[in-house]
Amino acid sequence: MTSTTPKTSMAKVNKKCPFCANGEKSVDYKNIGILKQYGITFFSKIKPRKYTGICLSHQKRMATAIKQARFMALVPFVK
Amino acid sequence: MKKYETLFLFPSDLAETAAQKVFEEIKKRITEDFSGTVVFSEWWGKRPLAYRIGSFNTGFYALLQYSFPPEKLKEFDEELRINAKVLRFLSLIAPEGEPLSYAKLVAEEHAFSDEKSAGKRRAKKRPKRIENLKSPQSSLLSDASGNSEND
Ligand SMILES: [Zn+2]
Repeated sequence: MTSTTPKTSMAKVNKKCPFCANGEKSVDYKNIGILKQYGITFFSKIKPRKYTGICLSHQKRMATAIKQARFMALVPFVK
Repeated sequence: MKKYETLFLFPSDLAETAAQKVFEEIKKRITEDFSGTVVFSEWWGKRPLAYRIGSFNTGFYALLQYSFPPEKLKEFDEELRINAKVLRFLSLIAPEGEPLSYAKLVAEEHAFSDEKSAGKRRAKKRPKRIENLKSPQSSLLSDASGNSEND
C-alpha cells in the first residue's frame, strides 16, 4: 500500500504576520497602501486572515482601521 | 491634557483658501478657548472621495494632532458636528510615535494602486474565462429569448 500524502492548499501555508514582523503595534487607518495590500480585496471587502496570515490581534486592529477609513471616504464600502 | 488626533474632511464647494481658513479657525479655537496646544498639523489638499457624500465627489483633507482637556472633548466634538463647513471628522487618541507625512502615505498608496492589482487579476484570469464562457453564453442567450416570448 502506498502511503497517502496529506493535501496541501495555498490557504494552509504558514505565513507570518507582516505587522509583527515589522514590530508595529497598531494599524493606521490613514495608511491606505497598507490597508489595500493586506486588509482589503479589489472590491474593498475585508480579507480573511486565513489568506493574509495576519495574527488575530492585528486582524482586529486592521478591521477597525478599515471601518474608520471607510467612514472618512478614504476607502470605498463597496466597489 | 491628553493627545488626540483628528482628520477633517471639508466640502469641495468651499475654495481651498476658505477651507484652510476654517481649519485655522478650528486650531485657534483649540489653543485659545480650550487651552490646548497644536502638536502637528498637515494640510492634505484636495483628494477624490472613495464614494459620493451628498453631492461631493472630492474634498479637502487635513490632519491635526493636539493636546486637549479630556472633559471638554464632548463639547468640542458637538461643535464640529454642528459646523456646516466640516463635512466629516474622526477624532481618536493619537497613535504613538511620529505621525506619517502625507507625501509618504501617497507614495505607499501608489506602490499598491488599484490599477496594478486589477491588471494582475486580468492577466491571470482572462484567458481561462473566455474559453469557459463560450459554450454557456449561447445557452444563456437562448434562455433569455425564451423568457421574453413567454412574457
Ligand atoms: Zn501581528
